[in-house]
Amino acid sequence: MIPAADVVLRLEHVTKTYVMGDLRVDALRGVDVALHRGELLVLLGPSGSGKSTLLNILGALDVPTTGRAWFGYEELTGADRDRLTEFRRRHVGFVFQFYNLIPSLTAKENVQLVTDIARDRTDGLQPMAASEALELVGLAPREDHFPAQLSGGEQQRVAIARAIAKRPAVLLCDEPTGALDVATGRVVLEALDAIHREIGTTTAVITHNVAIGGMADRVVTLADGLVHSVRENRTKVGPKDLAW
Amino acid sequence: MRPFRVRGLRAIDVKVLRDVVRMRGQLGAIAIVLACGVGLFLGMRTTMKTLERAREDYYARERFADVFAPLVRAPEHVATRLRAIPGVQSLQTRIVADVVLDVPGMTDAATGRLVSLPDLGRPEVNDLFLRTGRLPAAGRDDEAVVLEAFVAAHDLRLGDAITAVVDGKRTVLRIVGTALSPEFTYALGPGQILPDDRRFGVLWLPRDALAHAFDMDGAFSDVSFRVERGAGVAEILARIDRVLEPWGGRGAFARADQLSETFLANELQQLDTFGTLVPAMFLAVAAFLLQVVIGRIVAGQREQIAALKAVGYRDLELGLHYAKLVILVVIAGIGLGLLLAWWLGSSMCELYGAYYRFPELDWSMPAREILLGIGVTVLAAGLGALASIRAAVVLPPAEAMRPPSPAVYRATILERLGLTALVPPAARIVLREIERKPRRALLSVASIAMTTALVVIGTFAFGSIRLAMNVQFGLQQREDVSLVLAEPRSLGALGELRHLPGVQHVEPFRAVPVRLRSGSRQDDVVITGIPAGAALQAVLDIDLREVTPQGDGIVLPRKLAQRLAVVAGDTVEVEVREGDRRTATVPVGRIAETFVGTSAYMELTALCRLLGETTTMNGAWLLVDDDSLAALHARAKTTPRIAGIAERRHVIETFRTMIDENLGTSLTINLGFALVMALGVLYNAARITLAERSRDLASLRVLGFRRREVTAILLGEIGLLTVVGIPLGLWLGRLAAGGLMDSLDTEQLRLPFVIEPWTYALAASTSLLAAVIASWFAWRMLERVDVIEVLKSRD
Ligand SMILES: Nc1ncnc2c1ncn2[C@@H]1O[C@H](COP(=O)(O)OP(=O)(O)OP(=O)(O)O)[C@@H](O)[C@H]1O
Ligand SMILES: [Mg+2]
Repeated sequence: MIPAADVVLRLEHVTKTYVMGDLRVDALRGVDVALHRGELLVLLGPSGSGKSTLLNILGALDVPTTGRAWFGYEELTGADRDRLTEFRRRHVGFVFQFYNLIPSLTAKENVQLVTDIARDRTDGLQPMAASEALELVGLAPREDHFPAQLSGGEQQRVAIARAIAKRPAVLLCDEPTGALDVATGRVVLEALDAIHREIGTTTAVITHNVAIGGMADRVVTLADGLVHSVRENRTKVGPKDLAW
Repeated sequence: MRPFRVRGLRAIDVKVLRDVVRMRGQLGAIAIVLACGVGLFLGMRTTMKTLERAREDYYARERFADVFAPLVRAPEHVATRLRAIPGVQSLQTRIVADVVLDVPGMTDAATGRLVSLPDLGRPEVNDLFLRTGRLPAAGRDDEAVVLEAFVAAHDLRLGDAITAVVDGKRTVLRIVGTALSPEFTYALGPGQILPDDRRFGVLWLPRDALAHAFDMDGAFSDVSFRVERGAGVAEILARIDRVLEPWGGRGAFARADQLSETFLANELQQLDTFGTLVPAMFLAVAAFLLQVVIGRIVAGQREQIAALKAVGYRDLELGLHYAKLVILVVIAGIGLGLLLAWWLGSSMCELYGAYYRFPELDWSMPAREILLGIGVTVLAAGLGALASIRAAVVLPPAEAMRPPSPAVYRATILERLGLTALVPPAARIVLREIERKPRRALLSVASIAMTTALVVIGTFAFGSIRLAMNVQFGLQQREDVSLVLAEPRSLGALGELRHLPGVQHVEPFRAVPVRLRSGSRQDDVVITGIPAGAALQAVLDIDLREVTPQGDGIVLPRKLAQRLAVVAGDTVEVEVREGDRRTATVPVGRIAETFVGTSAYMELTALCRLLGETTTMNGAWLLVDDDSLAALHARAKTTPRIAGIAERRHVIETFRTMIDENLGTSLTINLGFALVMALGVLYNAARITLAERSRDLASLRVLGFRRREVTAILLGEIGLLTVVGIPLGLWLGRLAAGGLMDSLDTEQLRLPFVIEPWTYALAASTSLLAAVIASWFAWRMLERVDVIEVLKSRD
């Protein structure tokens, strides 16, 4: 299959099998997904259906057992660890369920962690200043606070600022609201939505929460390691209006 | 290249600094252990190098002899034949004689070694280093240059007088200069094993003056040689012996057997051994601590590492990130270590300078040595940290995003044996912890063992010396005073000696220089003839049984017997090196364990039979009234036939002083270092257990365990490591001490291998003290743990 011009990331017949001793877990069993330029994709599915595995492979954090992966016209399948690292370094922003901030660094320093290494990219795009990124998620006043001094939602927004500061080609979020209450989750989703609208970053968000699908351009549902359904949203709902 | 950010550090480097600050206790402890390693390494090594350099310069500048040959008397023309020996570069004939010195303000006599200076110019070989004043003017027989240490010990000045008693005639000598000589770097008088600057001095006089006094006109009694580079010394020695044979040659010997040089070489050897072994122990422990602590940091930051990798940090950057942590510790360690080396090196040099006299002993730490020290430290730290850093590098990012699977615990041996009921829960937790990480526990135990061993090897020698002294001067030598006569006399002389002031009992002895041979092996020693039934001298074996010689047999000290490869019942060939130089084959009686000197023993009459003499003596042991000692000394100084007089009490005093001066310092330093090492290990063990188990400990508290009971878990681990480590360390220390005996047990001073109970007690207490201090730290850390905080946090 020849990747289309507006496809940022594409997986083709991807399987992932974890082997632990005698035990084999087929986390993905032949998945085809494409992430289109500028879209906001929501990945739904029950626990254990393979969402995180899929996202990790999309973000080159992990490699498929079989199948192929492309970033634009560049094939990622078979690339060595170093090339995958370079790919993540230049093009991917990650937001994790448990934030994964560095506890010994302030909010601003956590963002700088990424902008520090985003300067040698080839596309000439300059990363944002750390304070600018924090401004986008509404945390500029807290930039000198350590993660332990921030609430869960604030930490997650720092994580988002950290992920988008380098202006990545794709932003991948694994259950960004998973550890948060409804109201806080909403604030985080607003931040994501705002960034998506303002700088048009291609975004994929994993969630358990079917309602969140409302804010997406497309909703892909996984079940048991396979794509169960793909649904396009004709009318998107803002995070404020999601029926949680 | 990435643009260098001038303002401020990169965020990831900020993390390094914050991690260092957070872990300052543990990393600081490692830096200190590392510092001890480099400090000891460089301190001892630079001391050794400084001494070696000083020795080399000194020997070269003063043309220290390669070969020495004492003899009775040879006419000067013999020198021509000696000079013709192939390989001989230059030689210097001299007149050397020991006399009694009478120094103002000193009641007892000192031994003076008179050494002749050539009439013209400086000696070709064995020159002296003139510190103050001048050489005696040619033709003056009342001027002398005197060994600096002797002058200083008596607080004498240029122009002061010393009286030498030569053949009963008192000759007043004026001090015109002070000097040092490579022959007397370690200045030992006859029979001494520790320098006693007050009682032994060297005086250099013009040759004429000595020739007249000792009837040596146109003759010499000592010759020393410089040999050509690469010449076969053994061959030269043999040829010299052949030439000097008719002139009472006492056996030529090489520089390595020169008394002062033997002691110095041996000291350097010890310094080398200890200077390698001890720092190696510290560096090994530091490497182990680094491995554990960095390993723990990496394990604790699994998710941070994964996040950094996920956002695009390269493997190398992560490796470098943790390497920087190690580098900071290493820099701190080296910085502290250099300070330590500076202090240690300069004070050790000063200490050595008090026993080994060099014209100058300027301690220095050349860049080359510093680089070596840094290299060794970096290597140790690198080896220690490598595995942990690698773990960070290879950590797969996707894998690390999920929390580590719960650790697998197995039932401990106790439980498998069904003894659970007997073991309280706290102890079970400790045991499981240790079983789960057996390697770490093992290494901790090994480190405690090393600490304990360190104290043993650092202090046991004092016990050995004490025992040696007690046996030597308590059981073997029982006289108050020993006299050396100018020449052999018949036993009739005993009557005269008995009439000296305060003398209660006299026993004669006869000392004869000989060469002993067994097959191709040979050695030059002295045989001391002891009268049968002697009460003032006992020869003992290793079990302190009397092995005083009887019949015709010869009793050999252990080391000599080993070198000749003979055992009791064999025979040795004795070649007498005086008089008419008889040879005889003598049965070896028992093997003796003597500590001081190199004498072999025979029964007095048997020895004299071997010499072909009626029974004679050239010395005597005396029991003397304490009150009469001064009078005895005064008389000895004026009695022509008495060439030397020594009080046993003085020898013991010199030893006591030496031990008193050094034991305190040595103990302080040893225990200090050992304590630092043990603390470093135990403190880190406690910190790590706390970090890894704080959730469990907090959970136990929530479940209703009392603080005391929870503390017991932490302290239990420290206690267990210590309790297992100490006996292992005592055993290890004993083993290492046994190995080190080889370098302490020398020709001149043999030491019994004993480890006194106090050495063990000291070693064990040091480790125990460390355990107590570490426990106190652990207890305080637990006090500070906020139970709620710990349970809330995701680890
Ligand atoms: N490293 C691994 N080793 C073994 N099995 C794994 C591993 N990672 C994931 N799995 C398994 O693969 C399957 C899919 O896991 P994945 O994490 O992708 O699910 P998920 O959809 O993200 O679930 P959740 O919503 O609970 O996060 C699960 O059965 C999981 O147990
Ligand atoms: Mg998941």
